[in-house]
Amino acid sequence: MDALNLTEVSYAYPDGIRAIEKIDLRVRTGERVALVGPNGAGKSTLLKIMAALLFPTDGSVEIMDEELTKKNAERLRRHIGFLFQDPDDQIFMPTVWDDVAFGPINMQLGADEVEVRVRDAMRMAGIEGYEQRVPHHLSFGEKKRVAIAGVLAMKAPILLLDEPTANLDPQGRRKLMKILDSLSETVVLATHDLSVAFELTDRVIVLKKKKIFDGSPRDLVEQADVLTEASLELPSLLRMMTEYREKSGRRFALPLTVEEAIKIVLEKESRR
Amino acid sequence: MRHHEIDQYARLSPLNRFDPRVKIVSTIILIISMAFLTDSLAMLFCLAFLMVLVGVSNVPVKHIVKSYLLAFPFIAFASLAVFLSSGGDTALGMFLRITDSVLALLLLVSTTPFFELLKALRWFRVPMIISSLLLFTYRFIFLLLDELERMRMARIARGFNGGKSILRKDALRTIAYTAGMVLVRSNARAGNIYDALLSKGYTGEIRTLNGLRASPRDAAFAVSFFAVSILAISIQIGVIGWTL
Repeated sequence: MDALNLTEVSYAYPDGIRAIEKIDLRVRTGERVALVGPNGAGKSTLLKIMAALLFPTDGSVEIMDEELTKKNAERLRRHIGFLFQDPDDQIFMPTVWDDVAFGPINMQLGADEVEVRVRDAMRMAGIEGYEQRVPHHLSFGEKKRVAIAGVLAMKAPILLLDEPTANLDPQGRRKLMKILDSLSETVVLATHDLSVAFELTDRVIVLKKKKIFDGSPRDLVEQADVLTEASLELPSLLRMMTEYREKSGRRFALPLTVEEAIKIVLEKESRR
Repeated sequence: MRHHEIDQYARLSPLNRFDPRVKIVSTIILIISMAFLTDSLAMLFCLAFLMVLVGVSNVPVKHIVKSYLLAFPFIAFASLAVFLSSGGDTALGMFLRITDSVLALLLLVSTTPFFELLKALRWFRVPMIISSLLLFTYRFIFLLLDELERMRMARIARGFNGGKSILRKDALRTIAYTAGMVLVRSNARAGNIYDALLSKGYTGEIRTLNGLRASPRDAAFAVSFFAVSILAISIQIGVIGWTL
């Protein structure tokens, strides 16, 4: 089954500015996909279309093999968990427990089921003990984890994450990456941070109003022209290894992680 | 940024154990009774009762005073207007009446978590749109205040030193633009919040698991307020005076 299937999807804002043009995109169940691109590329707009929060100006969207219409949008949204870039946009309730329970309660689940989901979601997000905390007293990183718990509690099969690591400090980022890495759902995340895309996903789509690349991270890092066109910059590790490869004359596939890079360097050392 | 929240001590207060519906009705009955009082002794009696409740509530007096001071300019202005038109005694009566009523309401909101109050209002069939508006206003007003504070600091960081005098037109213009920008950003945020609500299955009603349950001890709360109302009216009409 396809989790998401977009066919020639375009979207124009009411003032006529086109945000995305003729996007074809299929995401299989269980896949992890990153949407990358510069600011204004249409990543958030595309995510909102996938989440049935916006309707395309042209083209069609299928969610779990069912075509999205205005009539079934509310029902199809139950398949989607959406994490907004600013956690303050999606934390509504007076306490953390109330907020994490908000989604499951709206799904009209029983009290016991809600309790179990909220506890599990808070444990996964690392915010056990925060039940009675007031959201606007929390730090940005804590709010982000509350927002994630709220999404996880809904147990939606498809998760859409809009810049999940934006504005987090390094420790907050690491904690969040650990949470996201443990997920088994279908995940589509929008980010302009390629290191996040490479660590968490197996497939990268580069957007600049249109789709200009769709493939594996390994293929993307070898395509300097695509990166330039999309105003993207390789993470510093990859920039370093690219330069090392050029200057040393060695041939190797660019590593995506620090561990792979160390292996490459140590291989050279062991051959000496 | 820390803000003054009206219910920040509510969960720790022993008065929180009472059903919010009973507290609302009891408070309203007391306020209506006090509205008919003109005898200073009766009003002071009510004030004493409310002060005892403040003592029992575990809410710091400083918090109550700070909240009361927000309303004080209006109370003072109303009393002054009455003083100028009707004299000192009537003005004192007005002052005490309003003070008693404000104190009763402060006690209610300081000892009841805001969300519980809204649940109670919904039980009384207050329209859903109003209770939802109140909930979201209370949640997001602190964000708005933080935004205003950030913009104030940004102005200062860029050399702005106006705002202290209403005679400075350029300063007023800057402040007006800043306030306008906050409204624009709030509007944009409102769009995101609405999308987030939809994504979590919101259909217009704030659903909750924990229903309100009245218990026998709530009757004691209601009886005490009712008794004070009766006694105050009795003092007003002279029954207590006659007895003494």
